[in-house]
Amino acid sequence: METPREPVAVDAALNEIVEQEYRFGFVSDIEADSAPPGLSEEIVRFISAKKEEPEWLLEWRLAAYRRWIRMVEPKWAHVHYPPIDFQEISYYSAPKSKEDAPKSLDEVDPELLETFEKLGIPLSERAALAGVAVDAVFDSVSVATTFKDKLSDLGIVFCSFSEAVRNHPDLVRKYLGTVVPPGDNFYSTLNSAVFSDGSFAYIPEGVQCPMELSTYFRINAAKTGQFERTLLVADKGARVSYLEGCTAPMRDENQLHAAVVELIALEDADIKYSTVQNWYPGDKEGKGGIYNFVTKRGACRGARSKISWTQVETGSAITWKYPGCLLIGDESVGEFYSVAMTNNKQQADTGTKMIHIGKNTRSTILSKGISAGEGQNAYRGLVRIQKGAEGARNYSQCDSLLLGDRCGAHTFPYLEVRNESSTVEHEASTSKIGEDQLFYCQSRGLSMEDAVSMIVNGFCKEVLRELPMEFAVEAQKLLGVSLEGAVG
Amino acid sequence: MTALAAGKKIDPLLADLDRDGLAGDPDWLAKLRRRAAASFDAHGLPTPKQEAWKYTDLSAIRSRGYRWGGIDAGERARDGGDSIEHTPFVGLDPISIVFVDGVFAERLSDLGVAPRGVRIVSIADALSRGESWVREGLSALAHFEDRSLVALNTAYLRDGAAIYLPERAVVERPIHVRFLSSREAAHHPRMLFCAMKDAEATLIEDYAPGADRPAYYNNAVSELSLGANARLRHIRIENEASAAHHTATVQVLQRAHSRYQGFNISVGASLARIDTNVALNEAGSEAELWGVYSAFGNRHVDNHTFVDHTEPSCTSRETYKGILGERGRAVFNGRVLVRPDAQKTNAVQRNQNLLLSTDARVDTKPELEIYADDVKCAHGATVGQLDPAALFYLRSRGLGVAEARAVLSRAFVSDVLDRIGQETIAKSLALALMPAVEANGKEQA
Repeated sequence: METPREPVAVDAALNEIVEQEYRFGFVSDIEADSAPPGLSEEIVRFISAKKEEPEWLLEWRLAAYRRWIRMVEPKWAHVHYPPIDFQEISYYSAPKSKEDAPKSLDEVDPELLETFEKLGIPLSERAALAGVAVDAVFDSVSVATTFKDKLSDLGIVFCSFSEAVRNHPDLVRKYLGTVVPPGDNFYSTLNSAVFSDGSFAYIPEGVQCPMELSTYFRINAAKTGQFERTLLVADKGARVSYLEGCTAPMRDENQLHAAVVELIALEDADIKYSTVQNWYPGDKEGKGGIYNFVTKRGACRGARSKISWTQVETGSAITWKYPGCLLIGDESVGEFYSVAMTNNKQQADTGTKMIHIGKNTRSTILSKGISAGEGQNAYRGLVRIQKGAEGARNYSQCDSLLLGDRCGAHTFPYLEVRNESSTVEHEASTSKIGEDQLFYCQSRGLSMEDAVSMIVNGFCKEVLRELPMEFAVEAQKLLGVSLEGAVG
Repeated sequence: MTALAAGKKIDPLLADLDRDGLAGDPDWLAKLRRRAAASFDAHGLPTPKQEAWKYTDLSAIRSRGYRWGGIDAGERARDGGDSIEHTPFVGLDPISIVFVDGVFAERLSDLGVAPRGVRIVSIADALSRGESWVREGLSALAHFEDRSLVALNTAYLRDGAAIYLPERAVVERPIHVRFLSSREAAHHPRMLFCAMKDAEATLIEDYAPGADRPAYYNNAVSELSLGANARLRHIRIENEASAAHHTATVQVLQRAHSRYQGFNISVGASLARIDTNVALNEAGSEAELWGVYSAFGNRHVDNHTFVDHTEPSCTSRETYKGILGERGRAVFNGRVLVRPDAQKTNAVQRNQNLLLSTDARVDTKPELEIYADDVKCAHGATVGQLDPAALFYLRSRGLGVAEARAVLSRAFVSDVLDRIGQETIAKSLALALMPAVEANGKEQA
């Protein structure tokens, strides 16, 4: 049956939204203290010295650097981009005001605060109203950490990475690089050599973190790569939910972002890690935009521990990340919930790795890909059941929604099973929004736009509902902005 | 060296090309073989470093040091002095064309009376008569530039089965192409099948050992092209000797509204790797791919399928099922590509694996790559065990553990076997499959 449509009116309305400019495209003019472009041992030493790091960390960085120079850039991902000149990038950029580090919010550079304001993250307001402790990363150095006192009463350590190196060297040394070893892959090795700053959190035994921990990353200065390092440790029986949000201003040259996130869950610990990534995706011609090459991995070390990844990826020119779980402890649980959206010339190659090592480990993968314009969206995942993982269980579902006839949706799941008592299921489907669904909604009085938006939201709902409340609202808005424009 | 430019390194697998040189080949074939040999020499056998070979290591074929079976084996077969016996499927009355060690064995074949215009011949015969469709068909679909196993086969291209169905030809009797291997050597069987518009046939392509079941290496290439509205039911059976190695490339090209039904059964060789590539090249064509594989003992079986939707309104359905026991290992990689213009594509793919023992292992990777929006595509993969409740039920009815497991395992693959449409073949396949399952069941009990 042919659905009655009004292509002209619809197109006009669509165009309006398609032509929406990136809302967060502005540059804060803050004097930056940058390293010259290029990478060498000197630069690694420079970064380490700038941050007044102990000798062991410098050695750690140098070892990673020496490995990195012998490594080759991987080419297997389903993405295309011109070669990156790693000597063109400046590896360190910190706002000048770092010298006299702010003691409280009032002391933070007002222009910085204004930047966050423009992003819709009023730091003070959010801290007060939402009860969220924000460790804001502006370019490479953490500028303000809120609610620290309240957290430290419970023994929770939540601070910037460099602070943790200064104040809790034993904890950092004990866990750094144990989940993502320095030589893990090309970009994580690069990160290990030059990482600038990031967040560190330690939840002591038996403590339930009373609020969501949250970090906002923002790439600001031109031509600087951002290499944060996040390390999150939940001790026995601890529980924490961590939010990570990312935006970047508009730049014409592609910027590299190669972060490393390590999560460690000991016995009975529970970590929930949520990401909303809305970095600049480049313009309609595919010019500019962030290269987001991230290594995220969690280790469920203890029995009955749980790590849950939730991600909403709407930004970046290229997204390339596979948050994974090493399910080492018996009965540990790994979860991965993802919405990845590509519009215009965006490319995403994302998915997860679930490595079942302990007995009766369980994992769930739920991935929703939305492709519009000329976007290319790939799910790439690995589920491996090791020989000793008796009774392991995995369920994966990857659905793709296609909006537009020039986009692509791809699925590359790897299932490796070495244990007969395990059960692994994988399902995937790809389709466009049904004409009948649209017709039904329109017959009930919804506009074309609203109908599409509703169907897409329904498509993502299983994932979005895993996000903490504030994030879910933001994510839904982001999807709306990125998506509706793409419907044709 | 005639095959290759002088002074180049020569891959040991090509060393025997010298034995017959390219003497007696028509010019175009000599050129083709020379190019293929050069291509294989440049690339060698695939290694696990290549993504498509990640889970399958062919180094055993190398270390075995197989030499080309050559012509003399064929001469023995032609002499009829050989002990080789060909036992056809009981109750099947096919047109049969049999090859021993890669060479046509007239004594064992029964070409019967084919309908007018239908050609069922050996490639060598067709070449000697200068039949142009063979010349046009060979290497037209199975390109060797980026596939070294095809290159290796093409380098040794001398004989094989060639089948031609003219327009509207309907061959009622099944066509049975059998490749028997009688001795320790490398063979490169080749099959060419061309069905013109509206033609219809059932084709059985099977690989089996001679009576003494030696270790050998078969590297097969089959090219099948279906004209508009043509229909083909293709039953491919790999039931090689348990010490043998088997690699194969099946290349199918479909024109408008043609229908290809492929059954791919792999139960024999110690190492089997089968690449099935189907190109749906014109609108309205339809492909069904069915597969059953088993791996017991130390067997390794690898199925790679690639369905290429290039044109709109095509349908593909794929179901592969595997039973694995003991230290058996299976690999499945199913790729479905929907190109930008292939709107209204409908593609479904399933891979299901039954693990019967702790040491068995499966690596499966169903891939979807989609560049068109008005499509319906789905895939699914599962790995699991027999349902304990069903086992309990059967046992409560008096079946032993081994028996109960065999019944359930057979039921698991029966939906594929039942569709073969040739009852006698389905039965004999089930027979080929079951002893291992039952033995495995006893071991478990």
